[in-house]
Amino acid sequence: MSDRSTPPRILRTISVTPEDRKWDELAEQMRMDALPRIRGTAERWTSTVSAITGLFGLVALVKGREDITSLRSDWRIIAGVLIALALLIALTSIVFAAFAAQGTPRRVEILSGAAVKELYQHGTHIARRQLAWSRISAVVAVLVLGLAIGITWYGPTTAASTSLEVMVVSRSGMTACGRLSVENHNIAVRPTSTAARDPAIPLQRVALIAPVTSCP
Amino acid sequence: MEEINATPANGTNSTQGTKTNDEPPLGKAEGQDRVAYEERADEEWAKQVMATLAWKQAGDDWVLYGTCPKCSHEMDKTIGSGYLTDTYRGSVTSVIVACNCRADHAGRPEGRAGCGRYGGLELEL
Repeated sequence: MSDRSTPPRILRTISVTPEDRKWDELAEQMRMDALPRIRGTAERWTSTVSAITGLFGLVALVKGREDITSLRSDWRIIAGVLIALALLIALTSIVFAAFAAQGTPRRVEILSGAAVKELYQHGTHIARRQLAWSRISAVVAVLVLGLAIGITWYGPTTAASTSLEVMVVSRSGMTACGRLSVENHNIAVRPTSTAARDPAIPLQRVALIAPVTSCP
Repeated sequence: MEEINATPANGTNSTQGTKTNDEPPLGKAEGQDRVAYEERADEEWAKQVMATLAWKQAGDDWVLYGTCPKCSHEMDKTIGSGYLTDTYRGSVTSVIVACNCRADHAGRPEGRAGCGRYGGLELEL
């Protein structure tokens, strides 16, 4: 237990400056305002939680078009990883911003002018860095999310690769199966099984073109 | 505020330069309560504070109280219980003491107290 039965002892006077006086006044003001400040911090944290919840909703909204499942599986994985990464970076940005705005409460035994001055200087330095990181990570999150959305829209799909496989039947009964191309108004088919190209069939002699899952 | 005891501020038993509750305020002069507000550090003022103000206990706090050497109105400075824990007992720290009387002083800005005089004291906790 502390011995509180004896008062402090004044050793000597010391010279002080107007700045020292202002810090001392601020210390006194902070001591008096401690409870409202903690309550204010809690209110701002509520706004932060709302922002985080809104972010999850935003990601759900832009998760991609309805046929995202038609993306090739490797690109689908890449898009998913990028969306998760964007979410993580955006979350980091929000948390950094929240810490910068709210600070981190610290227990101070002696709330003197010197202690408050140290708290303010340290807090300012930390808040400035947190704000900078928040801004950087927000920009990176937007870029990564944009890339992910771009992949979901423009990435190669499994449907596109199968639709190129066609069976062409000419009026003379000649058939060809493979990837379709048009050369000099003639339909040409490149067999997928070999490098050889079937003879081109003029368009006017084509009797039937049918997409097939795979060539026989 | 519960007053348990009063101790000379400089921790000595000498009556020289110390104040008791029965003594009149030091430096009281005619017209001095019309001292105009002037905020400035004053080491001579601090020396008089050191010599004249006394300690009284209020709960877990110690309060340095007495009359302002400049305006002769009652002033005090609380040394909170945070200073008096085992961690800090015996250590030396500095505090700023300022006149915080509630009397009127010409030219005092809104929201301020006292006559404006202040000074620094080094304390052994």
